Amino acid sequence: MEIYDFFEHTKNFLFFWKTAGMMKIFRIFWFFFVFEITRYVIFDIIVFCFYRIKKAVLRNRWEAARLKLKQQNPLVSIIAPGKNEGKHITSLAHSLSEQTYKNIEIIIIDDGSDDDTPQICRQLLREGKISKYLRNDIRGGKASAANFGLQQTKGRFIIHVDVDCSFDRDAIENILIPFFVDSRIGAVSGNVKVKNPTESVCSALQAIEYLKTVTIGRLVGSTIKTLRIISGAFGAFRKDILERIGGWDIGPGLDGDVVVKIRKIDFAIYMEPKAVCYTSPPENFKALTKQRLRWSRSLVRFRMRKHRDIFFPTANFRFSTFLGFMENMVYNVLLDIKWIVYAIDIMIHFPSTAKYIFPLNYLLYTMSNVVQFMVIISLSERKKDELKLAPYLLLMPLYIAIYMRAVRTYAYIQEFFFRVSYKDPWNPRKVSEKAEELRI
Amino acid sequence: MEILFITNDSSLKIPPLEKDRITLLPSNQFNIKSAENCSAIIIDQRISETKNVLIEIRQSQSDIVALKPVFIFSHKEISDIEIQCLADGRTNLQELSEILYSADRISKLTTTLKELKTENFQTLVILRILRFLYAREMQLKPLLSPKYRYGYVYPFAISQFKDIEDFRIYEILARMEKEGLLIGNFYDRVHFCNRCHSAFMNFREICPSCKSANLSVENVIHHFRCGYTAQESKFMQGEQLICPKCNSILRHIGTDYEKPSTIFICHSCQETFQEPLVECFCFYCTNRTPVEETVSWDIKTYEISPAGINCAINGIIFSFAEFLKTQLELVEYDNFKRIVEIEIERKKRYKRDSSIGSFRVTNFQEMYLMIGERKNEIGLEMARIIKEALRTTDVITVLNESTFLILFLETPVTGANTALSRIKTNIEKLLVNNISTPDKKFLPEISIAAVKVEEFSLTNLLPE
Repeated sequence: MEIYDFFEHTKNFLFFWKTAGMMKIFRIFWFFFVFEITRYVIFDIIVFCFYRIKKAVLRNRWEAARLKLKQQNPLVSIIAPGKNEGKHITSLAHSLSEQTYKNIEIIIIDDGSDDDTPQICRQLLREGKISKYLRNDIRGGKASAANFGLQQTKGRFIIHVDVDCSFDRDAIENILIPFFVDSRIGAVSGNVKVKNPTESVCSALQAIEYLKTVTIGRLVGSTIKTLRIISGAFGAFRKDILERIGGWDIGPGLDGDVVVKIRKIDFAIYMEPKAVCYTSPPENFKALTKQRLRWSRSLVRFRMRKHRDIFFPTANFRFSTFLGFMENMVYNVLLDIKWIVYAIDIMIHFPSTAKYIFPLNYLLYTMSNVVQFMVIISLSERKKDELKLAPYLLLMPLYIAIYMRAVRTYAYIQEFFFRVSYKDPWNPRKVSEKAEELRI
Repeated sequence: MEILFITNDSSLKIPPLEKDRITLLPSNQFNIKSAENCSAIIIDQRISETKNVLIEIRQSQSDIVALKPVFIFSHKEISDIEIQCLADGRTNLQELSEILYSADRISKLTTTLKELKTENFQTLVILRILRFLYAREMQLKPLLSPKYRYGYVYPFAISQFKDIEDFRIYEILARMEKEGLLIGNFYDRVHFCNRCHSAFMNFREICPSCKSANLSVENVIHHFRCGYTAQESKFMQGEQLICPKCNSILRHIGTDYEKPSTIFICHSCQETFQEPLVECFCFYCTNRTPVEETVSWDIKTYEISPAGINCAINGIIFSFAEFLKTQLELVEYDNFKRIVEIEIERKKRYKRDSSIGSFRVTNFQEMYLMIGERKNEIGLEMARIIKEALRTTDVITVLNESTFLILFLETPVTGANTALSRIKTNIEKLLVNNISTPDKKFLPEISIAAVKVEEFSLTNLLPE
């Protein structure tokens, strides 16, 4: 009986869309065709192809850059600020000691930890596995710890990493090469992926999301020169440039903020997909929600308030930066609101056909995700492993379109109307109070 | 009592003494032979050879001479640490009678000691120290002296070496304690240079990078407003603190900024760090070494143990524990504990009974004092008794000079008690018959106990 019902529904579903005609389909799914497939499938594929062709054409230049890096062999300072990350530090040090690029100094900055971080770091220091261990007894926040670390570095390049990350053996080497290809590059983003992606549904969905937004999303942004963020998990900077911009400003959202500051002084930002780093994502949806609320709030606080001059033709105006910001605003803020409008439109104009619209909508988004995923796999250095994530693609529309949109919308409201980011315990109270007082 | 007074002051008027006779001797006429026939010696500190005479006496081949009571004639406190170490004390004309009692006592005890015949230098030193302490009934207390390489010197003991700064004295005293001849009590802990053993070292913080001691320490400042965090000097502009990143004036600690830590700056290589290395620089040999590689040594005060008294009187160094170790093939206590752990695991699996017993001579100190020269003979006999009562599979260890622990494999507690009782009875007989003297009967007090192997703990076996 149930099988019969299923077939009956499918038959009705197909019949409905067959008789609806292309115009009606476009009318109902204009949102998908105009914004989603154009931007995330067609545009990404075109840019991705352009990237591959460009990379192939400039192969010799890249090889020369690699050679130059090896000849010059500059000292690279890796700074890893963190609080209560004791359990991750040993594996971070171990992962960095395996790097093909050897001229590195590893500096751990302990931002007032009360776990076993000091003991572990002192042991690693004795064993020569890290170069320096700095500790602030009083927590000052991530920016303060990173800036303190920056002050004590000796390298020509600074790599900022999160303590819970681990790296492919050639990650450091690969992230440095772009600096030797183009002297206008001020910072390079690594390719951040999720550690143990199939451990839980939450991890798997984040793994696919990272592949879409970091591996492909940032690669596309980098290629069209609109890249607007370098993940704190793995990003490389020229030290002179970091010093010019005064290092990191107080967060949350400092990863994006530092990139905007670099772009404002007219240096390019690049993303190197071969510089692979693995990060530990939030393990459950509660922690994930907390993280994403923070990230989304920072979009309002930093992009719409602190760096609003980007939208105006001031001395700091750069078209590529403007474009990147606009794309961010349109796709993350406006389309979130638009989505609500779209839902109301469907409920008003097509109330009786919602049972046919929702499945097709889901199907279209899934197909779009599958195509994107295939592009990602073609670029992946771990095709077999990442293909294991394929079954989770079926859940992605729910994750992105419903869960993420809801979280983002809630965060924007929180920040627009209540400036909640100033109360986020992610920053120490004293720092947030000062930031709120100064409206920064 | 015949007292030899070495002085060049012929005008000294010695007050008349009741029983004792004092003979004045000019320092140039002193030789070691002249010291042999007196009961005590007084040396006038004003003579230039005071120290040499003292050393000559204390290093004499003859125990009788070396252990003689020697006092320094002086109206002031003795400031020279070497003289303090070698002499028994200070006296003057008014206090002369006060030293006579102790001189007499020392002299009498010294003369009862049997002459030692040994070629072994260490044995000689050990016995000299024991006899010195025995005759004076005193503790060997270290004296603090910045003049000496090791910081502390042991009176008398140091005189037994040609070089007064011979580190072997510390090793010998530690060995004597280990063998139960001395009882050590913690006095101080010193760190010696790992090359020359000098205690005079400069502990200093150095740069982990270039090892320079040219360091300064600065506060770290965290500016709340912009997150800039660096050493204080980067903020200092005249009297004011100005943030180099955002040019704001830092006016109020806690409101504008905080000082979350400190940082060291090396002025030789410009390295910055928070945890400098600590290095020891030896003033004697200029050796530079990390603190953890210095020789940490516990300086102790020592008192003579009953075993030590026995050795001092009879001139033979002997330790029952050491003797039985070879005779009974004793295992070290740490290994014994490991074997017990294995046996407990084995028992869980095979359900066999094993037990542990203890055997302890509670009045062993008295035993040591009375055992005399027959110790080897008695030791051998004790080993035989124990061997006979045990099986070859039983494991035995010594906890200290008087306590033995025995692991009875596959033997229930009743069986262990039977074997222990047999040992107790036979050893009691042996000791009563062989240690007692016509004047004094020795009654051994031996306690035994046995528990199941899994119940093993020292408190279970030796509750007192």
